[in-house]
Amino acid sequence: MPFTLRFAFSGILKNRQIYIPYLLTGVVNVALFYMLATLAYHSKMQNLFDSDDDTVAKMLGYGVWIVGLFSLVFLFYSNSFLLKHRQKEFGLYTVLGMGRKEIARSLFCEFLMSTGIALAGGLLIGLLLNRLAFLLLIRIMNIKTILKPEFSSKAMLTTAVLFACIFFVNFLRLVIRIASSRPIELVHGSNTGEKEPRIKWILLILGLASLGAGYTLALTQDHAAKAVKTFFFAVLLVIFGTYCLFIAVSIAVLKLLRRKKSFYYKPGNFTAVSGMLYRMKQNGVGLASISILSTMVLLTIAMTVSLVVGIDGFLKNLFPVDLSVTAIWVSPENEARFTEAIRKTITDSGNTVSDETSYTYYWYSGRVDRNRIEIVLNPDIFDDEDDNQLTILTDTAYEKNTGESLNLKHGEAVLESSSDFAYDTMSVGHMRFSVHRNEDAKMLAYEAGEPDRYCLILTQADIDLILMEYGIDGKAKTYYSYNANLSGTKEQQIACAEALFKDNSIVVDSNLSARGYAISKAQDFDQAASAATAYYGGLFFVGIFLGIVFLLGTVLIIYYKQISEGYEDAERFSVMRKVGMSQDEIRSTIRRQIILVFFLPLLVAVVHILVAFRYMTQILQMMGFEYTQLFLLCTVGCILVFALVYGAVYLLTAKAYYRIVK
Amino acid sequence: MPLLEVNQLKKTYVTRLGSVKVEALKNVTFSVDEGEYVAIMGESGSGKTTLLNLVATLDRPTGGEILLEGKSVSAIPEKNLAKFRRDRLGFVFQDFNLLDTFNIRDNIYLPLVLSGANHKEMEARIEPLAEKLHITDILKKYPYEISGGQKQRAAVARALMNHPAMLMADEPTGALDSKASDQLLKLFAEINREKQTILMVTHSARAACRASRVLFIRDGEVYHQLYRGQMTDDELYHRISETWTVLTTGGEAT
Repeated sequence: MPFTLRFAFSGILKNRQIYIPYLLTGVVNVALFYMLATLAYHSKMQNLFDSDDDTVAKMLGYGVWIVGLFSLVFLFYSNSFLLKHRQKEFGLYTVLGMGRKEIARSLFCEFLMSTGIALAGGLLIGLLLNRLAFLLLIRIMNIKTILKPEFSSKAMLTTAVLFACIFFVNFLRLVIRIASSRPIELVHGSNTGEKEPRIKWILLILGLASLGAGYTLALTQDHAAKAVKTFFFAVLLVIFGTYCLFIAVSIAVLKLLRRKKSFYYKPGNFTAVSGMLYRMKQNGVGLASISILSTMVLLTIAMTVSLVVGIDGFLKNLFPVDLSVTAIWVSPENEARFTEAIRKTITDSGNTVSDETSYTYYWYSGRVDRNRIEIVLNPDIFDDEDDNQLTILTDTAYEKNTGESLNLKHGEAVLESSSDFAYDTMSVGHMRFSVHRNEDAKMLAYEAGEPDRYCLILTQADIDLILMEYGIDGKAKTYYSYNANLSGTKEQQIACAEALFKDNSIVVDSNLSARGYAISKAQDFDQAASAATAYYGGLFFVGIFLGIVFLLGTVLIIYYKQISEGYEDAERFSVMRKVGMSQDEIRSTIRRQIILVFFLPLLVAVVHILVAFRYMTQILQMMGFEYTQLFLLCTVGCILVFALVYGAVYLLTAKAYYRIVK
Repeated sequence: MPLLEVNQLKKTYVTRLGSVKVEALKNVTFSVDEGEYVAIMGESGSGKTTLLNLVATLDRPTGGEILLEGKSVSAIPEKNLAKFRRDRLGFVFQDFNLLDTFNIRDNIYLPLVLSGANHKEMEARIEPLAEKLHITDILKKYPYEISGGQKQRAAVARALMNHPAMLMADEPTGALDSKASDQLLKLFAEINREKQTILMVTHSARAACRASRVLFIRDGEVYHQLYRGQMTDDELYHRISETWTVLTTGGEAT
């Protein structure tokens, strides 16, 4: 046994160039997994707020398993690299008379050692940083409940079992590989001739088509509710397209370049083009993976950062005014009595009113197709992502509340919408209107939150005509809305809201009441704010972890790529030196190739992000965030930071590459 | 004036920690005239590859000098060495050293592309050469698709593309079977008849007996040399064999 142990130890030591990143990946992933798991399994996490709301715990739980999944992927990846690289070594041992059983035994020792190192290192780091992660989570989520870090044996056990399994599967792969091949194959394994890469036309066309489809989906998306549904489909299309592109398109382009003799037979291009062609065949998949992972890092971080930074805007959107009252079945005749009564309640509770608006309106589900609007009378609540919210308002109500005069005539409309509407005319049912779009969206501003909102301002006569067409005249559902800012203290405002809103109704006097609700900023803001901070903060927290995992994966793939290419290129460059290429020329060729290969994935990732931007703003909009500019800033910031990290990784790995090539 | 002059060439390798010094070449002096076909023979470790590497400017000597066309090679600054190699010298190696990433045509073009030649000129040059070396049919193939003999002929074509002052070959038949070896040696003889100077390192008497002169190296020194004179290949072969036996059994030259 001591011999096997020594042998295994030297096996790790001799291959440290590959083993160290492998173990490092293990250590970091173990640490991240363990930290997230400790938080997710925390006893208080299930009911963070007084209610039994376990959203945050669930979020952390999903995060744990996503980290686990990617740990598996990356550890598998680096193991197969280890496998490829060590084939010769194993072949030599067999040739030298070491039985497969002995090799397997020593590999088992290696497995024990590497699992031990990864688990011990990772758990140690996890234990050390756990407090920090804990404080970070509390800080980001702004949790007021007293939450103490605690040791979770469940988390530790899950981590240990999961990673031991991953490492064990990796060990099995090595053993199976060795058992199933003859020694001489192993010895010569890495030296078999490479076939000339062919253009894979089917892959090329499929890739272009699916990338095109994904991009088209992303760029033409104008319906926020639908965006959420098509997003994952588009993501899949783009991922598939990216792989095809890196595999097929790059080769096609390079072959085209090679055919152009006046370009190809130039000192710099000659070796670079042929080298790239060779590389692309081997590295298309790797490069595509880097590019996808980079996109994921950027997406995750940019989205979650935007959520956290945008919380203030989100809340402002949620509470546009201090007091907002909505009631159903309030006829226009009763409007004045409602307003009077509400105003009285406000002043009775010691508040004064400012920025007051009050009006009655019609509210329906509508289907907007370009500039054709149809009212949907019985919306299917389970399949309503095509529906928009349609508020219909008279011009007099608009004029009264904004102080603007519209002078609307029959067949004229003012439109306010949360999404773009670039038409001069529109139709509602069979009625046609000439449209003036109101960019300020003054009335829409009182309709908090929901995306895909439209507000139509028409004359009363036209509204009656539309209602008649749909057969809802006379029994049309009218809503009443009252919005105002109050100047009283918090207590006075809360007292006012409580006086107004009883048993789901707005009560004016003993004769007059209506179902409805009152939203008081004073009453609800704090709770909404803390919930939003907790949810989006939790998402951001998980996002950071995932970002680190993806980044680590990116770095890992890049590093292995550089190393493996270094070994291959070392031979090629020694030949070139012999036939008359100077060190400087070799170095500049290498640099040209590396930079191209290295920064291509980053470029593709940035393009992906830019195309996905519209999608992301719409998804954010769905969640109640409407600050596109802010999101743009976050995205650009993330891209810049990521590019810096990427550049640093380049410098580090390029060093390793040069060391090998020399 | 001889094409190549090697005067008291010395090369000492020092192990990494500097404790052990190995004298690969002690004192080598010889010259090669234009149009000559010189074979250098010696056992493994006798220093013949070191000698070739020094002449090829792939390595710097510890002492002595190398003159090509009367000019000292060691006077060429480092940055011009690569250009010198690809313009003035042609190389053929034991293991071919063709690049897997290029097809045969591009492999042959490599030195000319590196010196910035026009691709029309390259095309003009490759045609007669490929004809002569019987590789016209395989120009589009990749190194791993062809036989060893074909690979070596492609390597010869690459070496001759720039009309080198001297063709240098390091065990060119070392990785070939006897049929391919004979074919290659016949080619060398043919090329030499067209006034191409050839300097070949080998330890095969069959290869060396085609040369016009054979140098024997032992323990880093020129130990003996044979001139062909009026001898046929077979006669030279016998003389080489005799000398080789003496050389390897450690006796003194007669």
